[in-house]
Amino acid sequence: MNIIFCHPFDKDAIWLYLELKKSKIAVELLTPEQVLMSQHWTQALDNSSEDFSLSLHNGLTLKGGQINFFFNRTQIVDAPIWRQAAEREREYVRSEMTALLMSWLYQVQQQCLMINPPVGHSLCGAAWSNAQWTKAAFDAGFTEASAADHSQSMDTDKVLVVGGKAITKLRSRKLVQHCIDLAQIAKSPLLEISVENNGNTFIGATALPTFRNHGRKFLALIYHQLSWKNP
Amino acid sequence: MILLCGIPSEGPIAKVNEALLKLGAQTVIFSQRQFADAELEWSFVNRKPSGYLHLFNCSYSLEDFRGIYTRFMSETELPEMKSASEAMRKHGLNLHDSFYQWLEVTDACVVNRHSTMFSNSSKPYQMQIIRRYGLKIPPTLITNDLEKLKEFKQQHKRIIYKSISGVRSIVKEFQAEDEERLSLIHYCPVQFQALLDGFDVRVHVIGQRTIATKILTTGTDYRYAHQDGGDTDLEAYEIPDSVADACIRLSAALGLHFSGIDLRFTPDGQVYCFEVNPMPGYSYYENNTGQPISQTLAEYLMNA
Repeated sequence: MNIIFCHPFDKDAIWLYLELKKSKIAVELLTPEQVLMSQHWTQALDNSSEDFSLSLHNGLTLKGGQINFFFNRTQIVDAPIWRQAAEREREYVRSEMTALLMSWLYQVQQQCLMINPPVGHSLCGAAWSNAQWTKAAFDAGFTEASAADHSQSMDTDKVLVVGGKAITKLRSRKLVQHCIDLAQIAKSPLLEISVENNGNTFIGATALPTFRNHGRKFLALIYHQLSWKNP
Repeated sequence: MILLCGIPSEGPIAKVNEALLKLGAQTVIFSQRQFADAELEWSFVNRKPSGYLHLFNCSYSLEDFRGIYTRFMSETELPEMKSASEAMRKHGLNLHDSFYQWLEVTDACVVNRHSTMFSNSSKPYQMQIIRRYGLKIPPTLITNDLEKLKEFKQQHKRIIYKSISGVRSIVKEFQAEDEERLSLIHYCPVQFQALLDGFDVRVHVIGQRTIATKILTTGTDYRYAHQDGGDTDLEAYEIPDSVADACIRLSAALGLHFSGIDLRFTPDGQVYCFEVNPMPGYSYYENNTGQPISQTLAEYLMNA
């Protein structure tokens, strides 16, 4: 089973789902909200085995070992049924649900190819501070780096890394390798890197990029990922 | 030079400072409550974070701090923050943000970086990591399915429940009266575990060293035994080398220089791990047993 796991407002992920459907690829579209409100949720852990089983209200059942590819775009955790509760209770439930989703995504990740996996502090790829991105960019080989919250300038170029391959207009092989290395350091196989000065200066990165604009190039890289088989 | 960050009067900070001074170390304490008199200015220079910490009338080069021990409390909860002017509040928040960012990227040995503390905010996530490093985990079920819970209870007879996250994390044994509330789990899955007989051991891992404390308690959760009218006794304990090695590897895998690992030794000789605390309040154990945790931590910071 292949799964696109995204919020209802995530137009890019929904575009990907529709494109995969058009290509006759078996894929399910799920939202974190749907999963958190599963009719039956069971996650079992012990020393010899681990398993999970989720029955969703739409009749779909998810079990350990069934999933081949999981495209994860979780940004927030929200359990609609708790919206009317007092703030303190809502905060507690949000902590519990986040912890639950973290544990489940990590368990799923052990059994399939996940883009992007949870990374401890974040449910979907690296969500670092500017200082952390800057340091990681230096570690990846950039000679100039200065991540900052800024509006896009005219000189900004983007490099989209998908599973160790890059989509970019920039020609420098060295730069592309820095970007691929950065995605690896960030444990985020899907990562968009922003650069300035013809690629010489790193200025930011996100593990939740837009990608529809890359059209077929992006799809080709996803098709390549879909051919992954659990060893 | 060693930098200590947090509340100076708090046990773990006070004890390690005392131990550092005894060992002849030079320490600087950033007291969060005195954020009004602190400035942190830094940037990347030649790919390295570089700058100064200004406290009252003193300035310290950040490169001079080789070891840093942090026990930040939430800055928004500081009494001084609550009573501060809008401008001062903004200064306090920016200062803390700058500290957190710098601590993530400095080359100094930071005990521990914020980014390494997240595994404990999802206990079943952390348990999956624990298992990979050779420690057993208690049979665990997270569910909103009453039938699955009944099966689990039948299998293990006595079970406990606790939060999945680090919030409201008090362990309680599942009792007959809890049956009445069971339907509520439908709206938010709950974590249940087999109740294991035996005694608890807290292992403090400091780099490659371990200091273990045996805990004898009448309560299900020794931290709260007194609240339920029970007793808890602590004493120094020798753990097998294989367990110590597993604890050291686990702590390192989680990126922690210093951790508090909760184990249970069962009557059949098995050792189970409940969780890894990334910011252990070790002074409670040291005060009760006289074990040299602060001294070991001080030595570790000095040798960083």
